[in-house]
Amino acid sequence: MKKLNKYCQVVINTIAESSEFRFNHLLSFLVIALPLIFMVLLWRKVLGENGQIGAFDLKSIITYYFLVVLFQDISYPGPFWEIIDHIRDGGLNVFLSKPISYPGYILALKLGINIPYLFQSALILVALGMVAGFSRYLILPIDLFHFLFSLLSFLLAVLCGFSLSFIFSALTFWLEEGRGVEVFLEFLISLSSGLVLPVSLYPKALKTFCNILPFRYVLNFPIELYLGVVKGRELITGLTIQILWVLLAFLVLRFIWKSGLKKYEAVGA
Amino acid sequence: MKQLVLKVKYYVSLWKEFLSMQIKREISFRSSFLLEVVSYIFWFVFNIFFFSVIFSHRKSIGGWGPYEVLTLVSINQLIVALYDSFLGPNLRRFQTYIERGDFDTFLIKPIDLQFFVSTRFVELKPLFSMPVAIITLIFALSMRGIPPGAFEILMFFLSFLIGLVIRYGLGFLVMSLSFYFVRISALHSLQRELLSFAGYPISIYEKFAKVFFTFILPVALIANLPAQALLKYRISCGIFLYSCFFAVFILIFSRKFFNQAIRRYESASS
Repeated sequence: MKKLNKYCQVVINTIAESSEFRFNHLLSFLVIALPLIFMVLLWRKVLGENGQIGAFDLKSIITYYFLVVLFQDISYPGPFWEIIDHIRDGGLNVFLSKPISYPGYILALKLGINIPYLFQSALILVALGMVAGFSRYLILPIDLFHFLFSLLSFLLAVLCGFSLSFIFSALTFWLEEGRGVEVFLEFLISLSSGLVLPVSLYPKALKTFCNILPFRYVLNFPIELYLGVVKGRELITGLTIQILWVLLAFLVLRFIWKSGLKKYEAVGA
Repeated sequence: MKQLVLKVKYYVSLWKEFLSMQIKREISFRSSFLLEVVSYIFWFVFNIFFFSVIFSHRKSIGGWGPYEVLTLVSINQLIVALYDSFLGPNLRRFQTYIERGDFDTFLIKPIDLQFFVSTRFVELKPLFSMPVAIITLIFALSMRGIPPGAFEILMFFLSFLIGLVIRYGLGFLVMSLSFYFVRISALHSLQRELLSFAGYPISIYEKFAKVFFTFILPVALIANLPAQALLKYRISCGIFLYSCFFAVFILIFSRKFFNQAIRRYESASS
């Protein structure tokens, strides 16, 4: 319990610190909220009020993008610049000499940044929805069962997204110039996580490809579960795969971290 | 006049120097370079794929059919590639310059400051998507079966240039805000994200959105106007003149704003 306390303290400190940069948060949020406006405009034109595309009607597709915008920041895998900088400039030394797990510290830091941001984003999104008139398109989960499972799935998505982000950032131990890998992963993750388009609308071959990769389970799967697009046997299979990905990603994180530390040269990798 | 020619020559030779330095820098990490080129082309293909999914369920988007949208997406890609190669890499660095106090040295250089901060860095990778975009554009136009005439091609080049200028002007204006909000790291992403939707058909905008994205923040004009020219759509004379006016206005206004904003620069402690 005492061990956990220090990570909780990091979360609390980060929340306090990040509230100092509210305007930055607001602007960062606009960056991800803007696509929502364009998506609403586009899909309203494409589907009209009563159209259907795959399992989606106008309401469910707009709710899909609403949830993408809301959860993208907390679960979507991307580079952790703190890790990259610590490895490159030797700043990792400070943490290695402390009785603290570095991955645990980074997770606490991420939660401290993202939790207030999530609530702030939800408030702004709802307000934006009311002003822009798309809040009437937002739908609730089809039943309590789907709601609870989607909550569990979102939680798993956050853990999986964190492990993947940590792994990608820790590749800095080996890569001299990681920009190419970063850009390629960015593309691959956008494609297979359903960031731009729900994976269930993809052609069969591409859908199978996305189902193999972990990225679908950090964004698309929990949202499609919430909307009831994923149900029955697919729900159970999907959740099992998601749990397996969380475990596997955590094991890979541990392996990469330990191997990376052996390569680390204290003055920068 | 002679002085102007000399000045232009001086800036062209400077830019050539920047370019040759960047080429050396770019190709020093070959595998990373290749991976970025491939990713860039994949993004373009992904944009096409996005619309192809829509068209697999719908015949048109507000009157824009698959080949019309393909034309638009290809033109947008050409604009994005040019912007991301020559201007984007510079605007992206604005905040770092301010945070690190780099303007200290820039300010004493015998060179136009806007030119220097807008052209110093070049990234070659996005340019490799241009041949793919041109081939796709030719394919879309030939499949559509209504080839553009000389007038349409002239209008295309004009409005393409206007689109590029509007994109740069808006980007430069947003990034000049960095002098006021040094710690606002999202400024670059904000302008990039906003302008990335230029490749959506203008027909998706209705009522207030149409007015806003055509006249106030004319994202809709950047790629739609050159696409409409090539597609032989009727372009309203008023809209075309307005886009010319806005391009000139945003260039002048963003420059004035930059010159005003730089007065807030307080070296590395700003």
